[in-house]
Amino acid sequence: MASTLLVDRHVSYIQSLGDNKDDLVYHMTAHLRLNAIYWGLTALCIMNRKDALDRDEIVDFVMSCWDEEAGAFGSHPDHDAHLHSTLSAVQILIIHDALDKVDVPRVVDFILSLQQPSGVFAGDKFGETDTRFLYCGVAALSLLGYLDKLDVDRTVSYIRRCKNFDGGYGNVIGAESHAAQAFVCVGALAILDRLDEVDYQALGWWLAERQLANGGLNGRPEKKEDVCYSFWVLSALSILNKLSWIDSEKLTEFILSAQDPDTGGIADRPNNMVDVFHTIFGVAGLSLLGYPGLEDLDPVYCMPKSITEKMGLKKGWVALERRKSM
Amino acid sequence: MEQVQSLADFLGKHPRTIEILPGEIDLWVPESISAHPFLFAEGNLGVPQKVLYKAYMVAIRAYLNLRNESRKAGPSLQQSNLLDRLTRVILLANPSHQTALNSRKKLIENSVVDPCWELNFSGSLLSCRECTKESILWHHRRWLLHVIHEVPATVGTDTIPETIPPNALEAEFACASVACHLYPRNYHAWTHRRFCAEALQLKVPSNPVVLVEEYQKTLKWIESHISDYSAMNYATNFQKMLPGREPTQELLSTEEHVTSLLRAFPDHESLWMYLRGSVTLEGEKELLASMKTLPSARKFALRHMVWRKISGGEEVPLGSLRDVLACDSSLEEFEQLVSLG
Repeated sequence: MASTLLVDRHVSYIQSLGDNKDDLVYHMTAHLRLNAIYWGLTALCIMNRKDALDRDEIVDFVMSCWDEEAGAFGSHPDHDAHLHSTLSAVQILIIHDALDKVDVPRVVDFILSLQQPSGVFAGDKFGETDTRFLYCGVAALSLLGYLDKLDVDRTVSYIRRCKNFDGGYGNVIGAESHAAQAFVCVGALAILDRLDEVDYQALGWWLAERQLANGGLNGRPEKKEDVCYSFWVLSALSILNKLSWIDSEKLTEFILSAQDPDTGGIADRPNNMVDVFHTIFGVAGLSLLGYPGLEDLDPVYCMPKSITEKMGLKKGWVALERRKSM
Repeated sequence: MEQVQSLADFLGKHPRTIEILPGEIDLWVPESISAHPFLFAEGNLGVPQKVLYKAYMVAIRAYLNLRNESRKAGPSLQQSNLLDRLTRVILLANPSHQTALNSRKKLIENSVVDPCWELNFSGSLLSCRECTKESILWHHRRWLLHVIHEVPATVGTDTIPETIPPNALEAEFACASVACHLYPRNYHAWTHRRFCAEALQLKVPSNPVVLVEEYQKTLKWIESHISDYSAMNYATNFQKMLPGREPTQELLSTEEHVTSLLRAFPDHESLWMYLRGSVTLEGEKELLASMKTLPSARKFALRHMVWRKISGGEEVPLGSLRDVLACDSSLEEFEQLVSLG
């Protein structure tokens, strides 16, 4: 079991992801391709290896996912536009300083067209609603510099109605508190400078209670630990400045134990199959925990802090101090 | 392509249940049976995983080609029929394929596929364990109900429409409840059920009997699923919908319900969370006092007390928080916390 972050392995793993365009896995995950590129690229940035994927190739691929009819991005060429893939496209293009390739006002229109009278966002024109999509809308508008077009009070009022007695948030009104929903709701409120809506103590406690005896975090009571919650839980805790409420040493050990030392990549838990989703959220969690040698991750946007800081978007979150060595 | 067509045919027969069968085909399906390589008996469809994935690869390529060919002029009737068949197979293998599901919505908008037929097809998909986790399949049902019950487009499609007839609403409850069985702690199935409950509440203010039935059904479910906080969250929210409820012997409050369950199963975190959502300060005193000698309950009782203080706006020092989380607190500290509560 690895006791350090196997950066070189993870870099080769991420580089290998686009290799087999004919295999089953590629076709089973094409609907998440753009998201996967954003996850891989962000992980590389945090590990200081941004150039391990060819910039032009990535930018060209992003642009090939443009859905001219909708004025937004699908997750793969020939897939329909969706708010989730559109946020990923915006994030990738910003990381690679290539936003000038996009008709930004059209993307903004697409995003704004998806806000519902209740304040929540739909994922696409067919209307599935979820606080996940609300976050995607708010984060993308903020990154594109068009937050002034958003009806902030209406947006915030929907998040308020999704808050449960335990301080947590569900995906729609009345739904169970879920750690991933804590990230999207608290993240959106942070972007909108409306963290006064959050019950810091209750939510902090609920999030801290996600840590299990083995150090890993789960997303809901009595569910199994999973590396991806290292980001969902920690991002919300760092925005609330309560990272000290969890045992960071045990969590670091847990994340490292879910690495595959042969193939590279991180799995949901030790000895399972790795994927790029758990790889980024494991690396992101480690960055917030102050793991040595990593770049700072902005937990609000899940992007390198150097970028959000340069754009003037960095909020008042607090990560653990970066350690000099293990 | 033959197997794609054959699977699409079976999926079109509205199977009551679908199961994806792991491992070798021969293990499950002898060559002698007529449905080979599938199993189809009394409305139950079995699909060997290996066959499904092979069919998926064929179907996905044909689907992408067809989308490109028909992009400019729109699909002909023949192409539309093929899109219908290909996307049935694609969605069984990969139920999160949003674009394939959108294609089906377009087929309904173009009157190629009947929305009531599609609702049955969606019911078949949601009888397959692997499919029940997908939020887009649950939204697809709500979207279909909006089409079927002709809800004006100005109303968002992510609700169960108020105009839904009682038997159709019953079918929605049944579909969600099957999925809750198939996949424990199924977030999106419980969310769908919650949408159903809202529609039910709007429909029956004058007849609370059905509401009470659903509430009691949920409490009963919890009794045999004591780790299912999703159900408990549903129950506590549901209780608020019961009109003018008077606690009687026949109708337990969630507070009475959770208190009795916790006495029997004190080491289940979900029940402690259920307690937080149900109990009053007055109601919990005796329960907590009786828990202090139970080692298995102490960890959760302590956490409960911290939550009680925190939600009452009290500051708890970081050291105590960490001690409680690490279960390091002594019995004295526990008593102190309880008495302070």
